[in-house]
Amino acid sequence: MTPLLQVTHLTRRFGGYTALADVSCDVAAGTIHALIGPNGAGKTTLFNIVSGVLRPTTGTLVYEGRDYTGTRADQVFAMGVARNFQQVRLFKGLSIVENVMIGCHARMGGLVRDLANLALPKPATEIAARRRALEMLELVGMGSRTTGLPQELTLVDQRRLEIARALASTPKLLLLDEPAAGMNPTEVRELAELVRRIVALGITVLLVEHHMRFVMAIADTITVLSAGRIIAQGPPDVIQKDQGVITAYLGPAP
Amino acid sequence: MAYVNPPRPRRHARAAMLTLCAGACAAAAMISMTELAHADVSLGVLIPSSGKGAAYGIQQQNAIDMFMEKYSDLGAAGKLKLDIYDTRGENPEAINLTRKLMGGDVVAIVGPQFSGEAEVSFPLAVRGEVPIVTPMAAKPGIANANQPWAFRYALTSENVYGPLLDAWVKHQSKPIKTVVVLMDGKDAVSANDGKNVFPSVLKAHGLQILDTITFQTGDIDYSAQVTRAKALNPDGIVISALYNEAAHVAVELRKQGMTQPIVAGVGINHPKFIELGGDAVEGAMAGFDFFVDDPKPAVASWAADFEKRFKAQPSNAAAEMYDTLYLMRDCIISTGITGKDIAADRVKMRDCWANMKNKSAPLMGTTSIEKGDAVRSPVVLEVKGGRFSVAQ
Amino acid sequence: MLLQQLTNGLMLGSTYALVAIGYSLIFGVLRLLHLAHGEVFMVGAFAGLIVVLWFSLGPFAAVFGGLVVAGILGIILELVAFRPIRRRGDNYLAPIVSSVGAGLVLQEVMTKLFGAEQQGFPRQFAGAVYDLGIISITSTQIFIIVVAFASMIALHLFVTRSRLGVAIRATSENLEIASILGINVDFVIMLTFAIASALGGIAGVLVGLNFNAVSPFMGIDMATKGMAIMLIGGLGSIYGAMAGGLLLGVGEVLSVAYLASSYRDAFAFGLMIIVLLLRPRGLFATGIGEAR
Repeated sequence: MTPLLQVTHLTRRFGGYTALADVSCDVAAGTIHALIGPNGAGKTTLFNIVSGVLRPTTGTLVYEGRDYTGTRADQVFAMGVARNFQQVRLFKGLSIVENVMIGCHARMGGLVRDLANLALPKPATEIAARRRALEMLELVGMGSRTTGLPQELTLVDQRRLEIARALASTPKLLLLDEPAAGMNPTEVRELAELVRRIVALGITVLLVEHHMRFVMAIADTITVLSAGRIIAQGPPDVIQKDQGVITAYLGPAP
Repeated sequence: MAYVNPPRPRRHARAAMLTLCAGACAAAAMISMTELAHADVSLGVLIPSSGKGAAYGIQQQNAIDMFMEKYSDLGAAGKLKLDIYDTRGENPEAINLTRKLMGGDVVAIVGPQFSGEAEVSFPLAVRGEVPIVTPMAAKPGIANANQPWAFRYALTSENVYGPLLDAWVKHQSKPIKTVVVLMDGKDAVSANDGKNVFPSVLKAHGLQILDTITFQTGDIDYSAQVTRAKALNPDGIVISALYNEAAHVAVELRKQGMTQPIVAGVGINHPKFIELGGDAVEGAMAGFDFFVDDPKPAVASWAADFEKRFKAQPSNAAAEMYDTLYLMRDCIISTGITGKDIAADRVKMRDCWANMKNKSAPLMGTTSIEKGDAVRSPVVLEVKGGRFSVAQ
Repeated sequence: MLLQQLTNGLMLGSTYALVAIGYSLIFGVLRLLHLAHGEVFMVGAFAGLIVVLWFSLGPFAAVFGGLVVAGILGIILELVAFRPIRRRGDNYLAPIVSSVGAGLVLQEVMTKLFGAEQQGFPRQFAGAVYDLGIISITSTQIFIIVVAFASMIALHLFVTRSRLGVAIRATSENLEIASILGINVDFVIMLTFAIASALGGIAGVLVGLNFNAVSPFMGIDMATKGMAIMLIGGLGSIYGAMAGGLLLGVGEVLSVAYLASSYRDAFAFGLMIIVLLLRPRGLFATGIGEAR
C-alpha cells in the first residue's frame, strides 16, 4: 500500500543555516506517526513544509501518490492536510464556533459557491457548516463551550479548539504540533484518547511532541530528528533502545 | 503673439549705435513723414489666449474678429489697427507687454483682463501716460487707484447691487425688512461682496442683516448653514457666491422648507446655476452686465451671429471686449485722433474716457465713467421657467 | 434647531460612514490604504447619474447602478493596482503610490468623459418636503437614510452570519493563518474590494442625490474624511467606521452651525487628533497595529 505522505530527500536552508538535510520518511495511512527530537532539530520546519507554509529548498512531497511540492498552503489544506500550531493561533475577533467554521471552508464547496449561495434565503452550506462545527467541538470535548471568544478559554481548551478547527475540514492527514504542551497528566490522558478517536475516524495523525510517555503510549511509528537529520525511525520499542537517540537527547556518554 | 524682450546691447556697443543712428534716423524720419499722411490708428490689446484663462481669451479673440470685420474703418483717420498680445493670464507677462505697448505707437491699451494683471499693469500705464481700459477685471478699486489714466468697462458689484436690490424689493408681494446673507468665505470677490458691498447697499435700502453665514468654495453640504438661517426666519435671502455653491445653497434652502425670495451676487452668471439649482432657483434675482438671452434686438442678433460663427454662446468676456473696442473707436472718431501725434492722441483718448457720459455701446447700453469705473444700469434678471429673463 | 442640525449631521454622517467602512474593510485585509477609494466613490456617483439620465430610471436603480459599477471597478483596481505588487513581495509604499495613480487616472478619464463641471440629478429627484414642525425632511433624504442604514445592517449580517463574512473577518485578523486554514485569500481580498467599493458607490449616489454635486473631483475631500474616520473608529474596524462616520457628520454640522464654516475641516481633524491622543488605537480598537 502506498503511504499517505511520502517525504523524499527534503532539504531546507535558511541563508547559510541548514534546518533540514536530506530528510526522507513515509507516513502510512491510518497510523499515528510521531516526530521527536531535541529543540532545534527541524521538526516545526518539516511541519511547515508539509503543510505548504514553507517551500523546500530541494526534495519532493507526495500525498496520495501525487507530487504537491510548492503548492500554496490553502490548496494543501484543501487536499486534506490540516494542522494546529505550536503557538496557539486562533482568531480573536471570531467566536468559538466561528473559529471552527473557518476550518469548514476548504472542504465545503469553496468560497465561490458560497457567493452564489448567499442569494438563497437559508443557504444549506451555512447550516451544514455550523452543525459540523458544533459536532467537532463535541468531539474534542468542548460541547459545552461553544459561545464566547477563544481568548476566554484556558490554554488547554484553546489547543482543543485548534484541533476542532483542523478536524472541521474533514482532513485525511492531521498535523499536530506539540498538542500536549502545558497539559496536566489527566489532560494528557484525555488527549491520548482524543487522538485515538481521531484515528478511529480514518484520519492519519502526524505529531510533534516532547511528552515522551504520551508519544510512546500512542505512536505507531516514530521518526527521530536531530540537527536537521533523521537519526532513527521505527516503532516505539525500537526507538526506546536506540543508542543514537539516547545520545542525541542526553549527550554522548562520558 | 508672445513677445520676447530684446537683449540689451552692451554699453560699449551703444555709443557706436548712436553715431550710426544719427544719419539713419534722419532718413527714417523723412520716410515716415510721407507715410503718416494716411497713417492708421493703433490700439494695444492684452488678452489671455493661452494658460489658465484661455477660455476667456478665446471668447475675446472671437469678439475682436467680429468687431474688426464691421468697424475697422475710421474714415478720415484711416484704418483701426490692433496689436494683440497674449498675457497667458500671468502678471509678469502683463507687465512686460504693457511696457512694450507703451513704447510703441498705440493710442490706448485694451486690457489686461484679470484683476491681478490690471493691478500691476495700471500703475505702469499711469507713469507712462497711456490710457488703459480693462474690459473685464472686476476687483473694486483697481481703476480708482490709478487715475487719471486707468478705466474699467466691466460693472463692479457696487454698481450692480443698488439697482438689483431696488428691483428685488419692489418685486416681492410681502415687504422685506430682514435678510440673512449666505456667502462664500473662500472666494475673494464673493466674500468681499458679502462682507462689504451687500451690507452697505442693504443698509441704504433700509434692510436689516440678521446674520452673515459663511460656507467654503467646494463645500457640498450646506445643511447646517441653512438650518441656522431658518432659525432666524428672515424675510429674504442674499447669496453671495459662485454659481455652483449658490445653486447648492438654494437647493438646500428649499429642501429645508424655506420659501423666502433669493437675491444673488454677480458670481452666478452661468447656465450651471439654473441647471444645478433647478426649481430651487426659480424666482431668484441677480444683476448682470450682459446676458446672452437678452431680447434687445442688437444683443440678440449679435449673440446669434457669434454662436453661428464660433459654435459657442458668447460670454460676458466677449461682450465686454466688443463694447470696449466700440467705445475706443467712438472716441477716436469723435475727438479727432489721427495717430500722427501719439502723445496728444493719448491725452485725447484719456479725456474721452474720463468724461464719458451716457455713451451708448451695442451690447450693454449706455455707460458713464465715474472715477475710472463704468456706471450703467445692470440688467436685472429673474430666473423664470428655467431661464434667465429680464425682471419685469 | 438642534434637532434639525442633528438630522443634517445624520445625513452627512451616514454617507461618511459608508465611505469609511470601505477604507476599514480594505485596510483590514491588506493593512494598506486604498488611495483611489475616493475616486471609486466618485465613479459610483456618476454611474447613478447615468442610470437616471440615460435610462430614465428611479433612485433605486441609481443606487443599484452605483453599487454594481463601483463594485466591478473595485475588483479591477485590486487586480491592476494591488495584486501585481503584492505578488512581488511585501512593499508598503508601492501599492499606495499605484493607488494614487489609479485615482488620478480615474479623475482624468471622468473629466474627459463628463467635463470638470458639477452635474446634478434631475429636479424631480429633490423629492417632497415634509415639515414636521421641529424638523423638516425630504422624501429623498428619508430614502438616503434608509438606504445607508440598510447597507450597514446588510454588511453587519453578512460579516457575522455568513461563512464568507467570517472568512473576511478571519483574513483581516491574520491573512497568513487564514491561508493555512484553507481560505483562498486572493479571492477574499477581491471580494473585500468589491464590497468596500460597492458601499463607496452607494455612498456616491446618495451624496449625489442629497447634495446634487457630482463632479470628477468630489472624491478628494471624501477620501481624506474617510481616512480620518477610519483612524477615529479604529484601524480596520467596520463598526468603528460606522460610529466614527456618524460622529464626524454630526460634529461637522454642529461646528458649522455654532462656530463657522471655516472650522469644518479643522473640527474633523481636531476630533481625529483628540481621539488618537485619548485612545491611540481609535474608538473600536481591533488589535490591528499590535500584531503582524
